[in-house]
Amino acid sequence: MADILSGTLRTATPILLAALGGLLCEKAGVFNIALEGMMLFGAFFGVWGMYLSQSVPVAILFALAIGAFMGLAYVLLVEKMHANATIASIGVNAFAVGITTYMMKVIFGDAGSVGSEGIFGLPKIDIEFIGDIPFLGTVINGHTILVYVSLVLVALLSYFLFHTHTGINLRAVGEKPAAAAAAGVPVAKYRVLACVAGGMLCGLAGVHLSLGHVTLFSENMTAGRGFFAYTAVVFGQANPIGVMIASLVFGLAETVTYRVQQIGVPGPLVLTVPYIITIIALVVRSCGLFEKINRYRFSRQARKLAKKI
Amino acid sequence: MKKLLAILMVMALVLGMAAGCAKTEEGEQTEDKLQIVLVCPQKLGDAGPMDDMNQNLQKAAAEFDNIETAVYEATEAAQYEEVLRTYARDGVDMIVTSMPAMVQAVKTVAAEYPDVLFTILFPLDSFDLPNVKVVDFAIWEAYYLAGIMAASMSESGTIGHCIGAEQSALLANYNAYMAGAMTVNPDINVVRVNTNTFDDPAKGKDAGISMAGQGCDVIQTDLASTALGVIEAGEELGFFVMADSSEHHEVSPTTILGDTLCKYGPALYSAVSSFVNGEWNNETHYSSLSEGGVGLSISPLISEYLSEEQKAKFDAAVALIEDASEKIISGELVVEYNPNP
Repeated sequence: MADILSGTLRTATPILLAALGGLLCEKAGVFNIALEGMMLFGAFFGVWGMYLSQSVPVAILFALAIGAFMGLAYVLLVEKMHANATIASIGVNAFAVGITTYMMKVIFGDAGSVGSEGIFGLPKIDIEFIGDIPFLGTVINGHTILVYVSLVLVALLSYFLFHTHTGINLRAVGEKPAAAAAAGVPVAKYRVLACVAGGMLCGLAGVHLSLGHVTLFSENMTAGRGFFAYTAVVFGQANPIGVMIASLVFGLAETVTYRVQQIGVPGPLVLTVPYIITIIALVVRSCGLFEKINRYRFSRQARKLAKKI
Repeated sequence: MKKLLAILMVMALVLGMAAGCAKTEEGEQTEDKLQIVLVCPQKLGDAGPMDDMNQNLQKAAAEFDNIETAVYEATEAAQYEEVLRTYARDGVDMIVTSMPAMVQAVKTVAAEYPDVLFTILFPLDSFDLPNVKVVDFAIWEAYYLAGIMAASMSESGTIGHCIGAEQSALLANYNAYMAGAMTVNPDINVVRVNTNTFDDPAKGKDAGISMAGQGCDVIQTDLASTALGVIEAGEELGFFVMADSSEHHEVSPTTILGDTLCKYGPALYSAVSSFVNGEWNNETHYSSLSEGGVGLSISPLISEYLSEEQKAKFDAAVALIEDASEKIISGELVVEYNPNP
């Protein structure tokens, strides 16, 4: 049981990091399903940075830099040049697969996958007193640093979005750009910054996949995780906590498949769980169920407020 | 302008005729020799299937004096059809090629040129054409041998088999692996896990960790590049891995016991020799252990990382494998293709 939960945390992290990036874009009102491509860029550049420098910070910096660059390029395409966001996203995703495979061939001379002596993984954090806790220790201890970073980011983003001035401005930009602009909030600036930050988070997600999860880069190694991340954004109603829960559900589904196959449940059936959740999430969203719940909550708050007055 | 066009057309005609003449002369010279062309869908120099096929084609050319061979590297998918068509139009006797990527091109061109014979190695597809022969691999025989190794090296009595899809070919490998393992230890427990992907090493690692958690101490993969993740999990948690598709000794000398391999070269050689001997037909041929088309490549590096006790088991397993492969080659032992789940 403990190792399933530990596996869940490990598997969910790349999805969660990318989903947090997607959340920022969503909150800023920029439709972004290019998370997959940005992740792949991060994965490749992380490995490349590691290959060049043999140092973890440089590898992470490489991934952050390419993520920021791709985020910037994307937002310029969509906001400044008014490209169709869906098509621009598909473009970024296809470009990422092509260019990383090509660069792998040029730089490493191998078109299949790279992993060599010069490339080592992110260090695992082993805290003794946490590791000693019977059940929890196995679950929480011994992950790479980005796993913890992703959890901290959930808390930080939660605070940022709902309790800071800038965060509230950002949400206003996404929900009613015209109103935000009228209130003197620079809409374009917010969107550019949100996308750059989102790209950086995708870069982190990628580097966690290529250097944290495994220690190699292989062609198209993100394998659809970016799309799961976008689903997590939708499913989690673009709320950091919700997004985290959604990512963990995906992680759990993936981890559990290897075990339930043994007790006679057909493996392919279990592997459909994330996709079924995706469909349910999209249906729920299109029915407007979340909005109804929110409206109910707000109206109750409003009534309470009215009573006080 | 018109005049220029006319002159150009006349020149083209003359050139065409000249080319035509040249070809017939050439044809007369080599009429008594069978022309065999190998079209590689990837670059030579891969130290893998392409080089292997090329070497064996050269070997065949040296051995049979009534054939003439050529090799062409068609590295772009867009080229495939045109390259095949050019050779077919030239009237070569047999075109040999390989890989699933080539299937569509072969289907198209073979239908256009029914007089030219085509042999395609490992297409993962079936052809309904009288002039196309498919060569596939009896790779399950190698998995039988792998099962012997895995069961011999396992201390826990639980071994793993990780596949990339629930396809009948892979299930046949699993059944052969289990049959091989049971010859060593009749009570062996084989955990089969499906990752549903052949190119996601991250998932492979999760699968490896999960299988180790279920008690597997030797894991056989049937996963292509997803296997890289299983190998990493093996290095981290210290279980043995037997991988597939290519040799992984160098990737992880401390954990790889061996790899199940399809050998394109010997398969090509036997296809060419059957063609020369006039035994060519359009039935699917499974290149087996007896003609060297498949095999278990045992790592030469692992033994120095084994403890005394493990080393004794390893050597015993190698002896058992040699014995079993001799029996398979002589026909005394038949490893059946059994795709039941």
